[in-house]
Amino acid sequence: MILSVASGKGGTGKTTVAVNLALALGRSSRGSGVPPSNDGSSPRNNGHPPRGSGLPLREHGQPPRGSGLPPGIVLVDADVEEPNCHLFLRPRWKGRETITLPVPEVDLERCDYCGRCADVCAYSAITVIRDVVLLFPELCHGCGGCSLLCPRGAVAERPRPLGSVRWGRAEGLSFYHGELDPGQALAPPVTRALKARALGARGADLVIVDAPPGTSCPAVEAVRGSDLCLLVTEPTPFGLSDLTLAVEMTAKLDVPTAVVINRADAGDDRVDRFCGERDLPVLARLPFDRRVAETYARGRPAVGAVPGWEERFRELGERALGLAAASRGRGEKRCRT
Amino acid sequence: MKVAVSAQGPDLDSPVDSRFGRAPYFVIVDLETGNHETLANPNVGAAQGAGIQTARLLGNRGVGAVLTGNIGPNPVSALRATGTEIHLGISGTVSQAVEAFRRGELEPCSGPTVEAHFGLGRGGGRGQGPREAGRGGRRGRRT
Repeated sequence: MILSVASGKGGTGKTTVAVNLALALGRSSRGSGVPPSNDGSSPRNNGHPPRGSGLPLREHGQPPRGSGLPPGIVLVDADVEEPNCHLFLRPRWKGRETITLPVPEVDLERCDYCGRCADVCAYSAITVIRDVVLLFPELCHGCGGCSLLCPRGAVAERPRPLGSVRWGRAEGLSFYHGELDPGQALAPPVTRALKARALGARGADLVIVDAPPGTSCPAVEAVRGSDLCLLVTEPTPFGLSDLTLAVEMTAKLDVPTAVVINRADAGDDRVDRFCGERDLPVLARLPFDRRVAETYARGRPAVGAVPGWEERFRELGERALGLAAASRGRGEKRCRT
Repeated sequence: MKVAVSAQGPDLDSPVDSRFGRAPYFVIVDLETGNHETLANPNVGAAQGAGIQTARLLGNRGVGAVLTGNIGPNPVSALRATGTEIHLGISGTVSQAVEAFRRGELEPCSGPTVEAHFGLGRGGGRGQGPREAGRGGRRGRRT
């Protein structure tokens, strides 16, 4: 099960939601803290699909091969341009892997300057002007087309480092994050590698992905393939404008979508009306709480620090998992017919 | 020598376009024969690498000098590698620019005048909120 937490607008509380959601679900799956409620009805569950049968978590599982991490909930910080979940979780790091992209290298002894490589490159990362071959590795997306299609076999590939993936443990969670190297512009390959590592961890029952803000390639890559995307917004004109864009993005990606309204007691009701018109379930309305802001400023999550918030995030998590399970069921039925 | 001028329109009286990679037209003047030809630039709407593609297009036509307004770092590398002269900050019409070049009034440029993606003239897909303020431009590129 993959839950992504995204937003159009930056600063709405994605990281707060992702980190606290992971912590709250982790605590309830381990049986500490407040036990999960079995109450299927809720005054705020207005007509949304019923919850799944508890959390899809294994009590005992195999540790993932080679990573040194036990199974269960995996939190993935996919804002590789500026990861920040680790500031709140302070993980014990267990490993790190460099992520590279294959970029072209030309053997000028073999090259006859036909320009086929330049014709097929969608990003102008390789070009041939008369008898000059030029490489722009920072533009290369690593598709391998130039190497594959060179009639003279003159184009080889070399790995270009883009960033790294790190993993560790924090508060009973497995934690992965990606870091794009300074000066690099190409986030998606790092995000792809990060998600592959996190999803490949054996026993990764629930993967929560904290996506970057916006609706451009890094956000698309983070959200792609989720069972449910939670869009965190705030009831302001900016919040609504960017929520609208984000909803278009998840629709194109065919990812079931629900909304979390943060600082729900501020602003106006236009976000609510928009969600009603678009049939978007609002899974939580989180009030502004000065104590949460204060713990945030000290680099601590609200769960475990501010009374009442563990229950709030656990309830949000249960609704999200129920909705994701129901959407998944519908998706499978769609696929069979 | 062939001189290429970035232009807003297809003929010698058209104003010079201030962009290189995304200029709609290039008017190429052959200084020896006085003939000219017009190229509609196919790279106007390129997602990425418009400057490099345009440098390739002009280079393969045997252009020896480029007259334009602004240029980014990648096409500068491409034009330099093929020994093409670059003259920037050009305004007026195409024929005025070519005359100034013919009289030796234009200084060759020493480097790019704008950052990559300048000609795209758009914001980005990155969030607009308070924590993101001031970073939209840098992070707006499509990758």
